[in-house]
Amino acid sequence: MNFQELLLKLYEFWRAQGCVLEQPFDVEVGAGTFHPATFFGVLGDQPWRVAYIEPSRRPADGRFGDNPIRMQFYYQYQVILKPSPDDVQDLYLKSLQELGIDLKRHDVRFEKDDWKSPTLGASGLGWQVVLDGLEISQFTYFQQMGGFELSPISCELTYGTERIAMVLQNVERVWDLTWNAEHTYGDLKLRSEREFCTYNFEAADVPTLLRLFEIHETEAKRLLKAQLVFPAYENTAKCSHLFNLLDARRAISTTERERFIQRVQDLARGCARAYIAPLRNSSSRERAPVRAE
Amino acid sequence: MLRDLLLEIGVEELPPRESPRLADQLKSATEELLKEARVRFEAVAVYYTPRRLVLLVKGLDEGQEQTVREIKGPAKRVGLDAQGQPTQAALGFCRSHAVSPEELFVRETPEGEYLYLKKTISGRPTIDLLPEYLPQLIGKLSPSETMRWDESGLRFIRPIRWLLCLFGDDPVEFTYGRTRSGQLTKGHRLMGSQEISIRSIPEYFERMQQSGVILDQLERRSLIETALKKISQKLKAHYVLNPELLGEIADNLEHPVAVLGHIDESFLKLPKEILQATLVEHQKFVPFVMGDKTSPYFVGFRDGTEDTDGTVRRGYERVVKARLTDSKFFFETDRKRTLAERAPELRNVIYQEKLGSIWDKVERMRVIAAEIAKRLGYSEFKEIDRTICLCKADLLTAMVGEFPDLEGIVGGVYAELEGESELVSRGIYEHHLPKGAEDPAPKSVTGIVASLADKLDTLIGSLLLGEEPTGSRDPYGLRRKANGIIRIALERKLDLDFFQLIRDLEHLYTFLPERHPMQRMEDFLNERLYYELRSDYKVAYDVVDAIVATREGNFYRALQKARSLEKIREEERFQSLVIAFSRAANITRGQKAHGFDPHRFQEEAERELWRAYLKAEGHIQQLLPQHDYSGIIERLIALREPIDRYFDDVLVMAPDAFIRQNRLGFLARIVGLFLTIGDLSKIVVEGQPPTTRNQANADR
Repeated sequence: MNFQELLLKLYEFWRAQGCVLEQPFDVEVGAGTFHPATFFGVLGDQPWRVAYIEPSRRPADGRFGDNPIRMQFYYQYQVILKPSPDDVQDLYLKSLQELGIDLKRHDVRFEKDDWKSPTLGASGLGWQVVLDGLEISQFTYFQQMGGFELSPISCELTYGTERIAMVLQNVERVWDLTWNAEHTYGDLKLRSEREFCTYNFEAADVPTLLRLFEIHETEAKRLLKAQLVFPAYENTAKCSHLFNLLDARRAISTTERERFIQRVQDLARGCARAYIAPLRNSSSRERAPVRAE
Repeated sequence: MLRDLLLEIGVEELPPRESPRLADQLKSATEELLKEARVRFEAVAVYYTPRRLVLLVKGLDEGQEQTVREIKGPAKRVGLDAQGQPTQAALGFCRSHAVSPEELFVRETPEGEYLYLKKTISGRPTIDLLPEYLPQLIGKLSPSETMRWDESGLRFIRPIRWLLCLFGDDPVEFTYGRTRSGQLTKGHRLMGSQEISIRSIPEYFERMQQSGVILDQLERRSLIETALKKISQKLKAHYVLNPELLGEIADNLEHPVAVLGHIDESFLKLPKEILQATLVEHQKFVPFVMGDKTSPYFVGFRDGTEDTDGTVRRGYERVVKARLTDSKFFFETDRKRTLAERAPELRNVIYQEKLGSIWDKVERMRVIAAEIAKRLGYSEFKEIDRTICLCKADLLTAMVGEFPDLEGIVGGVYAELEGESELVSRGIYEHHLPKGAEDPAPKSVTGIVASLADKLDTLIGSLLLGEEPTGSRDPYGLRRKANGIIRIALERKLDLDFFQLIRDLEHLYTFLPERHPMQRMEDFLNERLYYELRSDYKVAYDVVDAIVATREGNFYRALQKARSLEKIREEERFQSLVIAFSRAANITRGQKAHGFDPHRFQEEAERELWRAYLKAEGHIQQLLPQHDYSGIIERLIALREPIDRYFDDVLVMAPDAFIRQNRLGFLARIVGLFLTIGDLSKIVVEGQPPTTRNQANADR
């Protein structure tokens, strides 16, 4: 199965489960969780099912294209089920089968992986799903988002699409995946992967990144005051990505690191608070800050 | 009639470290609850897998035990007439409880004499009690963290999805959160059916086995070890498996099957510690070694059936390759700069807000290490200092970022590759030892000193800040660190007074504006010494009490004294010595210290004891530097008779204040001599109560 067919299959499967099929968030993010469809979607008490592809950037994970499975840019497929259904594990396994994974031939495991996003003020309990030793998904029961205790509980399923495709196509390197009949993943992505690694680790200008961080932070605060939640949130997401870049450049010391994270979390909590305010869900309780490990 | 009770709590995958704890809790909570409910049972067993906690109560009674209750009736003068016959009031009382009047008896109460009767209350049937008790039982499980998953708001470590409960062949119905108990269970995710109806308890165990679930945690462990043994014979290599890894594997699957994978030869050049950590930490795969080298094979355990077509093996190998590529990337990146080049950057790494950067810590460690080396008579000053300066630099490497448990080990491996001397690289490698109770103490001179300096600095710094461990809270691992110090001293036979050392180090911490008393360090180490001598060296508690009461800061000497005391403690001559000493110790306890003048002795017994004392003291001064504690005890035994005679002939608490003080002062000197070996009054002697034992020394 080609990579693009796999993405289509996922859309099909989750459409049949009643999900809104969203499109990627057009701001650089580290994970599908940052998409407003997730960040805001899990707040409040209205039921919500959504699925989408999210191009994700993890500057520190880049390996100049030399690692067979690790890169700084990849495609997550994200599903939110709110409230989390009782048979959500079975549903997830069914989706794998739908993609053509014969579970009886493989080793499928749910391995403890509690999730925490200090920048989003979010946390949850769950697993990484491991297929033949390879982590292919994150499976999380969200407990908290933007500092708010959630009710109902949403379940987040995040597929690492390239890794699933590697198992299906039985290839050793992600770059060898067939994207469609003519192109490999490497044809489309390898050059930009290498250039971005150089950018992330070496070329990114630290003073500029720091300045941009300040600009977007100030902007987010200003917009929050103006009750413009979504624009404020986009600026928050920008800050988070800039922080990740600074981190990859090793421009932040351990102590400063915590403070940066706290600054982004403060913005995220502000966004969640402003989003919830007009909703009638008065039962939402705000919690103490999420601490980085 | 007795029946078995089965409860299966079906859950989504439990974290492997959690299930054994929860199973233990399930067992003890069951035993407690059944006792409280007065339902007799023969035995409680628990089993667990990632997807289920199983409780089996063998031989549970069908009903609660009968109880006999005493019921108070009318006062005797109302209930019995002059002839002692029951009155109408008493007869009415009996009727209302359906008991014949012959059963009445009289009992004296604070309000006077009353009539009573005994009434037998039959218990309720167990089957009626279970629906009340079982939800309480599940509620008593307290996982290390909890989550919510549905609108019931119930909290557990992972969602509870089904409950199967049978009492004998009868289903027990109850509700927990939104889950109703029933007779349905699920088999192995891939090997068994996802809906199995169970009618009896034997059927449950049979069907579990048929559907690929190995319920017994011990059985899974032994299957894993058997498989590994077989493979290691074939490979002519040894597998590397600690109990922790075994547990993580065995408790993370329901049906283990070994899958043998191959490691690309190009990765075997990686240091073996890094190679093994990559397999173990990230993948829970079992490495193999041949002599000193890592073998090019590993074993992973899949959950399911044999990997007949090699799909799982290929997958495992692919991941191992990717992981090792990453480790190689970290290794090569790290090697671009030496530890010595990195070390100054430790200035930017905070150790603790008030105690400064890691570099500040290293600077203190250098002073501590030099002091230790001097006192122990080591001559390797240069190597020790180099070890200390470099030992923390690996905190800045990508490898330690990836494998925090390899702290120190990575530094040691890199130091060797960088051409540091054997002593220095060994010292860095060992400076974290012993991390846990299972680890060995460092062996190299540099490792011993660096480890002590590191731990002492942490301990002194934290305790001065008042960060003392309380109960189960010990965020800085201070107990472990203190145990480490003591174990190094004992295992490496270090002739070093730690209490004196600590007192001499206080000047390093005067920069702290507010400091808790230094004295706490000694108390804390003394408590840990008590623990180590009891748990690792199995010294009897009264002997340990005798030693720690004297606050012996030279831990190795403390152990030797304990051993000498243990050797002689059963001998009668020693026991009479303890009694003699206790007399002297008791009479001087709490008295102000006085000097004394031998010229003012009045009785012959006093002068005799004085002569004996001088003789013993002279010998002991000679024996002390040789640490001949058995010899010292012998010299003290020679004092026993003079002491006994002294107490027979001399009135210590003489009416004359001068004479009294002279005598007390003398006895205090005698007691002081004994304390070189220990406070013998703590030793338990037959027919003699020991002085109370130090309650603060709870075994932890």
